Amino acid sequence: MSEAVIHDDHHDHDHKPTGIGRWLFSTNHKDIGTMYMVFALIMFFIGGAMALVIRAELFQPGLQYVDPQFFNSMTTVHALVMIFGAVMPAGVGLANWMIPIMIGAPDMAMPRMNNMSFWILPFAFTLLLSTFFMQGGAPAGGWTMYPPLVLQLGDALPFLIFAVHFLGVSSIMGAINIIATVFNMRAPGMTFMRLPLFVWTWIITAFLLIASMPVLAGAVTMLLTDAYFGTSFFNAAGGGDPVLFQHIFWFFGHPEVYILVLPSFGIISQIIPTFSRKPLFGYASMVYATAAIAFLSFFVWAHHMFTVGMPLTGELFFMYATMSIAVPTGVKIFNWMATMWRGSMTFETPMLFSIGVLFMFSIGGFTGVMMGITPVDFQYHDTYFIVAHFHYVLVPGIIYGIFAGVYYWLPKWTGNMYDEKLGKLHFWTSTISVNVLFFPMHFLGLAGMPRRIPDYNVQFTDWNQVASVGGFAFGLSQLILVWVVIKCVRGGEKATDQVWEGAHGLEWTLSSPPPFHSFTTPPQVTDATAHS
Amino acid sequence: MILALEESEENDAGFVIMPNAAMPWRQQVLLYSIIAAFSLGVGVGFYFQGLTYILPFAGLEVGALGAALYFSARQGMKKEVIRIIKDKVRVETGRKQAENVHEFERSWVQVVMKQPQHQWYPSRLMLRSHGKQLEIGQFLNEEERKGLAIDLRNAI
Repeated sequence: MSEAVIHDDHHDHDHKPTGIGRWLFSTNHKDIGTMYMVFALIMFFIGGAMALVIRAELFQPGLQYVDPQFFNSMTTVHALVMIFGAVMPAGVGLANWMIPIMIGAPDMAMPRMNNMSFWILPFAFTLLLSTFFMQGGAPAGGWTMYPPLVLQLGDALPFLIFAVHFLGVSSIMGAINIIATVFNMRAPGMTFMRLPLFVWTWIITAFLLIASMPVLAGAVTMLLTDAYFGTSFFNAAGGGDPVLFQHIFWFFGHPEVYILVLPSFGIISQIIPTFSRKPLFGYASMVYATAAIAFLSFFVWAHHMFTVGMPLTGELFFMYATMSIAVPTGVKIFNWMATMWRGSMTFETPMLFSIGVLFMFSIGGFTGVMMGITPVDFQYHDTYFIVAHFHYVLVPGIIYGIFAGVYYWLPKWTGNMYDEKLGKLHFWTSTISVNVLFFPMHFLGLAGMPRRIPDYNVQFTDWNQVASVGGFAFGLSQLILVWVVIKCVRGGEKATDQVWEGAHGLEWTLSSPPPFHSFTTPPQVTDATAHS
Repeated sequence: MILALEESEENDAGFVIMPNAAMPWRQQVLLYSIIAAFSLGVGVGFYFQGLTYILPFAGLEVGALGAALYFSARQGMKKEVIRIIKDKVRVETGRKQAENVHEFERSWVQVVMKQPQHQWYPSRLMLRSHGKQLEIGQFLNEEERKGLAIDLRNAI
């Protein structure tokens, strides 16, 4: 509403701030989205470097390069960096960039909060990574921070806890912003059942964050007070129960898995219809399946701790609840396949990565179902089988989804087409190496190799060497992505507004790159301009 | 969204202009209540298990979400009422009640539709008279703004 009397006729609507101020004080959803993505990429390489330290150490039995304490720090901080520093910020970055232009909004509902939620991240990771230089070393008790082990940490403990708090605050602010934006800022005609699937998956992810983050915040605060203020929440000697921590950690931790994976599902739900040149099969069932996955995720947490000792009834409940998640997940997998069925398919890089998600997330899903079976889990628990399982879910399942999204929207963001040959090279080198890296871990786990150990029995050597070669190859493959992005930002064939022939949705009605202020007036959405 | 005011003794013609409220406030309250009940319910459940620190965090977070939804929804409650009353054109801006009132001489006021230099930018609709101008209908989409300009010209 214009209450001010305007005297100046020469308003520059596309006024862009310049210099470092543009980024430091940005309230523009695209700039903040870009910052999130760049931050995520940097953290991906930092976390990746830690993974390579692990793989180098495990190339052969015995201790080669690092001492066991540092090795454990590597596994712990690698997980924290990858989950909270790479995957979550990448998802939030994509949400920032795409949600407003997908729903026809000029920006996020709370632009200043958006700025804050980003700038908390570098601060939080500075806290976390500074622990490597502290007495007692960096956190080494696993990313799950189980007491009493984590309480034996040196000076790093409060830094770890405050870093987790800040990361939680950042995530919650992002979630609140997304909910407020989608609730209040949809363009006329953009009803809920016309929302692109990516937006749907993010609303549901935001609900998951809202429901699960206070549990993590409470859990780590109780660790802090147990360590420094004499409480005994998790101290058996004082009447507490360390197993209780595991319960609340996984009450947060399992929804966290879906917080990571649902946006990826949303991304490939945009991409598969585009390159199949068909509308998404079963849009409504996709929405309901996503909501069902999210809802069920709150009732399965104890499958992470079957071996801790719990009543048979509890084991049965959590086993069946875990199995039931495979149903809505299966709905999604089959809907993606049905979308491709008899489609006029082409295999550009985003589609290749999406198909990669479909195949390899399914591998991770199947091994997940295996471990959901309680008696079987007793065998697999804390072995390399679980490491193989969650890496199949996280890397070719989730990170591939993010790669797919980056390739899909990069021409829209930059106005230039990326180098398709290099994109495909990135896909194939990554796909071969990621399987060389993680598939042998199934064999190692089934053979009994425990996770989180720097040294191992010689019988595990061969597959560890194969995995390490895969690890280094996968790491090097990611340099191709960096080169593709830099090359695309610097120039290249100009992208059209629609970019992809089969793309539908409001984001493709804007120019490539979109103006600094997009949709300053809301577009009218119809079935024709809604999701694909 | 534009609503035409009925002709009455008070005004010859008039329009009420409101931004697109993507979701009615009542629906937002309902959805918010569900989210809050779940989140606080989890906090209360853990509280009775002796894990007392989760509930305050849940409360803080639910409060922040409520505030964000309220302030965001308030933006959608803005309203511009344009009344054409005998020789005056009165523009009232506010939410439920008029907070600012601008008056123009009906015989002098011009309805100016400024076209943007590039299609990226929106057009701008102004009421202009005696060197002062007031932009109206910023939150309308292009079609609605063009329609309002025509209706205003006809009415004035």
